[in-house]
Amino acid sequence: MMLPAPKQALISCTLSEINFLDRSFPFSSGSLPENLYVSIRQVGILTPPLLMAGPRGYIIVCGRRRLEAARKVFGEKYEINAYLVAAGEQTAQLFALAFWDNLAHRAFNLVEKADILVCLEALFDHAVMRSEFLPALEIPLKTRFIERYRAINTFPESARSLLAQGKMDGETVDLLKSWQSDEIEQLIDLLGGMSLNRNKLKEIVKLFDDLAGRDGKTPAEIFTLIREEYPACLESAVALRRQLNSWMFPFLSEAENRFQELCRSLQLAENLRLIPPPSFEGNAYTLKINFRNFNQWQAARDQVAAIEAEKIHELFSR
Amino acid sequence: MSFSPVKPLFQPEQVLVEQDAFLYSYTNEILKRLPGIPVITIERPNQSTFLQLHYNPAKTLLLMVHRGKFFKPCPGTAESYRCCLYKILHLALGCSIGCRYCVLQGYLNNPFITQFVNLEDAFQELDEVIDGAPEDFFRIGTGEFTDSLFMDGLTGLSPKLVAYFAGKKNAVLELKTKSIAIDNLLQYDGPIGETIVSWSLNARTVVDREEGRAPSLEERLKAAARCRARGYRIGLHFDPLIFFPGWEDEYAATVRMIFDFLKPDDIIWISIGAFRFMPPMKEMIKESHPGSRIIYQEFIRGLDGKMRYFSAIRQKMYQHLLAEIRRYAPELFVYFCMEHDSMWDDVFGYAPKDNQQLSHWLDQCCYRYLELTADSIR
Repeated sequence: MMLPAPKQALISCTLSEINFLDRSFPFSSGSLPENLYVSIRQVGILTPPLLMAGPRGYIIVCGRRRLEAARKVFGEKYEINAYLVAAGEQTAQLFALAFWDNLAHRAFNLVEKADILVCLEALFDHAVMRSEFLPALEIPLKTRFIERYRAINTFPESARSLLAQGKMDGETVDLLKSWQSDEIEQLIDLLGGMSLNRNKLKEIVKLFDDLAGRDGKTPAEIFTLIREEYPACLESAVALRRQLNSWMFPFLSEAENRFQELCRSLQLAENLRLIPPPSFEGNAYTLKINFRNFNQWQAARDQVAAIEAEKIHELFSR
Repeated sequence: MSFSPVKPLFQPEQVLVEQDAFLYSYTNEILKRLPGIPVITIERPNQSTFLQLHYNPAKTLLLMVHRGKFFKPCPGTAESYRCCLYKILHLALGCSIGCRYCVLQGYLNNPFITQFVNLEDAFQELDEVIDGAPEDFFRIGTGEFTDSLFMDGLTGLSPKLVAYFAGKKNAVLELKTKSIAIDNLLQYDGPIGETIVSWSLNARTVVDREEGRAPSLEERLKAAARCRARGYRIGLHFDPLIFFPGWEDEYAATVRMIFDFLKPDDIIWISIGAFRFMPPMKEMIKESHPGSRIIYQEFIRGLDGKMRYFSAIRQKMYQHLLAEIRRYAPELFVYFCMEHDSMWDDVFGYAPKDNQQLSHWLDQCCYRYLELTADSIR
């Protein structure tokens, strides 16, 4: 359905007259792309943003990213042209207008979606949400996904920042949503110095969550335990993952160590690789031979032939 | 022994009846057992109407006509793990016992318990399958998508099934349950053939913490002994085995308790299977049962995509349980539900060469199978 255009007047104002803190129309969160600054620096704001009169300055309806970039590039005194809608205009109508306008330009990040969802839930009924807005936001209609976005709104700023940057994903939010806000902050503080992509972050969060669940402790208690008993593992992501894995998966870690030891004792050449079944489930071991010529093939074959039978039997003794 | 009246595990506060279900006499038979309970007639339901209904699954019974197949292979069939080729008679859907580990949480989200009422169609389909393959032998259960007996007091289904299977030479029925709703089975005075009534057993801590409103171990085993006295054969299933502090002693205690109530010869088989679940179920259990710790263990992704305990843990548990069972019943047939050949070898010292062989071993436990094969030799 096409929305009726609100009554609007073209005005001129400086950026200082705009209330950037008001987030009634929260369509932008996270850092701005560098090319937006370049564009603003070159040509300024060409299309007038849409503003609404508010008690502490103009409220941004559409165009926040351009206005924030302009403020950073030119400062508060920069003068712009803008469309102004009266304060009496229906908020729901304006929100929908801003929503569809923003969506036409870019995809929202997780934090933006979460912020938008809160506003949508306050402004629109359930049926409209399900039929129009949630599909447009690519939020599945199942409760658990909606809960995921609601949880983001309770997260501390440090976590929201990671989400906005794409360094944390939705599945990690699912894991963290039962944690206390200060525990999430402690986690981010703990991992602060480590360079983690979002999959590694998810893996570490999952390990902390599982350990807490298994031992009937809070995540904070697990952090304390790590800090006090295994401080060295906080020096790198690899060391931390290794420590948490050996803690959560003692039997599997032992099997891995035993396998590594056996591989070392076999003294296989570089072009031979023994691969265990995933998680040692079942008994399908693989021996991989890389060779570029007949001599390499022959050397590998001879080495395989020379492996003692008992070493192979050892593979299958649990 | 004295017995107190059995409190039903399912007491619906309303019954939804699909219009077409009134064409079947079984619908009225069930409704007569629910005097004073509001009955709501509904159109033929489909999945989208299911999702819009907001009934309490623990309080709502749906009587409907099943339009698909009643007879199905057990969904456990997978390439990577040995499956006993069990067959399912699909007559009901859902359960109100509320076990925290129940796989049905992952499959069903209907806000009611469903009982299919077109039994005539089910029996006709069974006739076609069973009589159509007189050389084959069928082990058939009703307890895959529901508990076979938990609402038997309402449905009165078990005597109908027992009577039907008593007339089949090449098939046996297994009723799997955690309930003690055995009155209908005991009161039924017709031939029972070789019907097997099976109980799911576990360690006491698991029963107390994870099995919702299920009766205690003692109650289950008392019920088993009564069924045995009536002539039913008894099956036992340790599935899922749960790894928790103290599991060794507690599972040993459960095994000891079995033989306080039953003799080894009373039991046709014992199956063992460690806890396993589809990955999304972890989140479901976490949300529905925040206090449960069963999902936080050393799980790996198995060859069938399900999460399972790391093999060394499973092996340890299986070996322990098997040794305990063997103390009391050295000859009793014990088998794994969905395990790898290598696990069979490590625990039993042998492995079925394929699913057919495992199926054959179980068939051989049934007297009917022995009679059938003896007939074919003659």
